[in-house]
Amino acid sequence: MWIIAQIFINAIIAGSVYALVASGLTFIYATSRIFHLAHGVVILFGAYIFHFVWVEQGLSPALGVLFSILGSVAIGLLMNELVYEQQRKRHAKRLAYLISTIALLMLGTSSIILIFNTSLKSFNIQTTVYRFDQLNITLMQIILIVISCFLLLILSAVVKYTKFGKAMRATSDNDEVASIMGINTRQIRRLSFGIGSLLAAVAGILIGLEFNIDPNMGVYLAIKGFTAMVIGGVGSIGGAIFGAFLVGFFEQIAVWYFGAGWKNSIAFVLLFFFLLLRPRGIFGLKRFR
Amino acid sequence: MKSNSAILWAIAIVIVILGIVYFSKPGPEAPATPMEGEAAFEIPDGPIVLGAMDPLTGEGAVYGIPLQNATMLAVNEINAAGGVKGHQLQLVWEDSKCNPQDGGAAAQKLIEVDKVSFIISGDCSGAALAAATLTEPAGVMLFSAAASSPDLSTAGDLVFRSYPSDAMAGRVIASYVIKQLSVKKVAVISEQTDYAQGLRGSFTTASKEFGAEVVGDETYNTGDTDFRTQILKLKSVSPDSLYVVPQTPVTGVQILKQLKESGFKAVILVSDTMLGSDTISQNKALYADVYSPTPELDASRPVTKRFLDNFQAAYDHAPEFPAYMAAAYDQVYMLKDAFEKVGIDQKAVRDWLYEVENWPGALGDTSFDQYGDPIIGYHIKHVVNGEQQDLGAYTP
Repeated sequence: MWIIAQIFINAIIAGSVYALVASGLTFIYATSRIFHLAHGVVILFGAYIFHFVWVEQGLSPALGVLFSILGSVAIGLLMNELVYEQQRKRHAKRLAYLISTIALLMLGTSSIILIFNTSLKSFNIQTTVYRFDQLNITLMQIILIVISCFLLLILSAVVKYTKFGKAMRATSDNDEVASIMGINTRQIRRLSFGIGSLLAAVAGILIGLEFNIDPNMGVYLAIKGFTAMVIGGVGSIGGAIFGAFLVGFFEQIAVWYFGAGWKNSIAFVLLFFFLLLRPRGIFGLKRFR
Repeated sequence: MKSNSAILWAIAIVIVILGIVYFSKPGPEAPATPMEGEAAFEIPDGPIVLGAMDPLTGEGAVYGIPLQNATMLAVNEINAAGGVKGHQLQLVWEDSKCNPQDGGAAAQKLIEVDKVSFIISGDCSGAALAAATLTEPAGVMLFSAAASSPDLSTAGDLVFRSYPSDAMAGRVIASYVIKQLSVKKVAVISEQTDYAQGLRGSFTTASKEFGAEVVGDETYNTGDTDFRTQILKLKSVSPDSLYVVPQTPVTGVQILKQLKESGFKAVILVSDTMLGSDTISQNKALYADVYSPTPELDASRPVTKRFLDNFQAAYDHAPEFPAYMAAAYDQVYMLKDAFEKVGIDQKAVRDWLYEVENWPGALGDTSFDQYGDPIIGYHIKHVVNGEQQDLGAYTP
């Protein structure tokens, strides 16, 4: 029994990281209709900058967080301005966006290897372990879950209750009508890339602290975030979060029953089944094409 | 009709060019070395160029760079003392990044572009095994100082190493923990690489042979950082002892950390990749009570003392991985002796290496078995709160 409970705890830890990734992706998708897979490297840049400032330069971690957020947001915005907006100007098809986001993902991974080299970076921090009978969870993990839930709550509130959220939802519904109604859709897209990349930086920092970072993680994070997004229902933030926990849970189950070799492939298996049986996801709207 | 004859012409020209290229190549057999006598061979003028490959970037650089330093120490010493019969040793370095793809590419470059006849390497097993598939058919000798996978024993006739095979290391630690620490149930967690799987294999086979039960056998992929489910699984079968076999210390430390967090209670054994002095001193709390098999340097031997002293003098710190690095130092001197005795012909060097007996190296007196593996004994290391203790030589 305690084993199932521990698997569940482990799944929640992994899931809350994936939830940050998936909700960032969803946020960006909602306004731009781009599956921004390069989000994976935006997360990694956040993590590497944090590591560089805090561990390698020996500055304060708060400064690390600040630089990490600034760096990630800058990279996210640049990707949008220099690539996606240029394509939008030329009325690019969806496939073109997909190809360029994959190119950005590869370019980003290579840049990280060039700048920070291939070695695994570790923060090497150890926090208090809380034990309840056989179960255990560390302070770091509790912080990770709390921060991620807190951010996700704020995010949902922003979408629901603010003027920006309203404009965002309008853009998401139909950007042409929205711009006719006087909404500056380009500005809205910029904002959503900015906020999405901010989430990416936080996700990167948390991943670094809890799991260490290596340059190839970007691809896997993008794939897991994407899977979570599709499972939950594309465009729904609640769905993305739910999907993220599902991916986290199935990963742990896969390692338990089939061995570690299956861990990274389980996301693909889930993706395949959902695309086959329920393409619009669990919370997906019917009108989503 | 016209286009047909053009095609025929083109084919004929291609065949002629291929023919010229083929026949102009020197035959695979180098001119045979005359037998007997010291002066029966000649080393061509100019420096002796050797290929060298180590993991110089990536996680493997943790031992790749120290191994490179040890190799260069030997090369510089030899060159400063006048070289090999007046010929300077010159190394062409390639980065094998501790993986088969880059190891293969590095070997290919050294063979085809630099045209070397000898490659010395302080490499990971995966990279060395990949390199061996290229060096052996090309008639190039691969001499490794760190690749310890049992598979390398049979990788080729021209493949040698100055560090012992893990076929022994797994057996030594299994025997120690079962016979000396009276452990009944053992488990292992290993990375999916040639090196780690080799150790895992020799450890589990030996454990069963010595009467223990292997209750857990978990693996993980290179690059994984979350081992909680594997640890949970291992915890649920409650082994008396767990053998941790990572390819590089960075991952190993992460496993030790998560083991500690999970409240895992068992005798922890680690592979020799985790014995880096830097890694241990940075993670004293995690190296609270672990055992590992490793060849041990005996500082009372003059060669070993020379290696340790000269290394300290050259780099201003003690060797990080003494056993691996002594093996890297030895391999250069061994080749120097071979070149001076039989010249720079690969086959003559091979025969010389098979014949040496108790060659005095920094790692120990070295003789080779029929697979080109050195016969060197192991010691058991016990690390307590970051302090390394030598429990003495141990033979299963």
